Amino acid sequence: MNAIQHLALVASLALAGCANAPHEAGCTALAPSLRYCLQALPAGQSLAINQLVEFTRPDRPDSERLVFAIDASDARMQIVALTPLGQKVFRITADHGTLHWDGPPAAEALGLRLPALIQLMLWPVDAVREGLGRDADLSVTAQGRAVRQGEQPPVLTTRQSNTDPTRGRIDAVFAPMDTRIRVTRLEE
Amino acid sequence: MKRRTFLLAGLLALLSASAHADDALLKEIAARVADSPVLRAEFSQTKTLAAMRKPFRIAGHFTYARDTGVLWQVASPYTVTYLIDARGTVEIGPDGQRKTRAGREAAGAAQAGQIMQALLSADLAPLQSSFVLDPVRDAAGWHVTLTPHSAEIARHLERITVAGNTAVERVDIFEAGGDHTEIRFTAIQRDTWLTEAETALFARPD
Repeated sequence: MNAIQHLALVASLALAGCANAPHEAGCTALAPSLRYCLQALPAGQSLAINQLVEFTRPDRPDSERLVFAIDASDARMQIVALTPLGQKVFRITADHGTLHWDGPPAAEALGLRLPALIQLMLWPVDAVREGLGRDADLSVTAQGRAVRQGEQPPVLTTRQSNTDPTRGRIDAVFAPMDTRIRVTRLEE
Repeated sequence: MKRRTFLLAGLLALLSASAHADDALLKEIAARVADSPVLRAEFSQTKTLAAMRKPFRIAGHFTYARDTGVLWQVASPYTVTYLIDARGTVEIGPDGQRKTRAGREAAGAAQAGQIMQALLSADLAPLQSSFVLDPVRDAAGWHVTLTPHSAEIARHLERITVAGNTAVERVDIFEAGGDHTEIRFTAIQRDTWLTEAETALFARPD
């Protein structure tokens, strides 16, 4: 299974769970009754990093690896996914809540959820709480984050190797897609 | 009228002479570069993405086997090997596990791989059906600019330049959207045979 097929599969699974979730510009349904609205970075902050991202599902022996180049400032965010050899797979632009997809249609449904997932893992805590609104709670420690809805098991859990989540490595479990995600920042 | 016809004839003659000169230079380049069955080099690739501040860099070892294909062994910032041959693309993980790429993604990679193989051997004539080739001698050796014929390819690819002397030393890929990939080859070595380890990597068990 190649990266695109894998993304299409997890996208279809995610869609099955989110078909009835409300949707508005800049807001992404991540699970039934859970949406996240994209947030701007605080004034004066910006982010330009490259990450190696590995997706693993329990029913698939192989993980899929992509490089994410992320560039964000204010309310603008760009993500370019590359194969490990540097071939472009897709590009997502989020600009003041408007999402634009440039890539294979089969992966679009999942792809447009990536900015939300990336913000949940990397954005400043206050911004993430704002983006979750009343749908879910974000708990934070030096070791990671957890997003919960009431007493239910976490929707997303992350364990990070550095107190700054944009550095080092993050191991995440995203329950709605039954997917483990390992994110490793690529240093120069 | 006579003057215009004369000018047109002169222009056609000039273009024809130029085309012959281009063909001769392309043949000379191919002869200078593709004279060894195996070529090894270190490579560094920098991808500069449009509207992104941080370039993406990888580096590693490269093996070109004239009759077999190309191995890209990425060593930094992670480890992965790609085998690209006429049958497509195989990703070989750090544990030796192989993943054959299939579908449209693989077809595109295989096509890109074949173009890259032609570029690296400097055997550019077969690419003339898809590209306008503009070879130029320069102080360092030569460079060839490839511009796509078809509007379909031109929608994605603006041009490719290949440069070198007795080997291809640099490939630049300029995409229509503004992305630029620069690949540099250094420590280039020629050989007659693949090593046992390379032969094992090139082997296709299926």
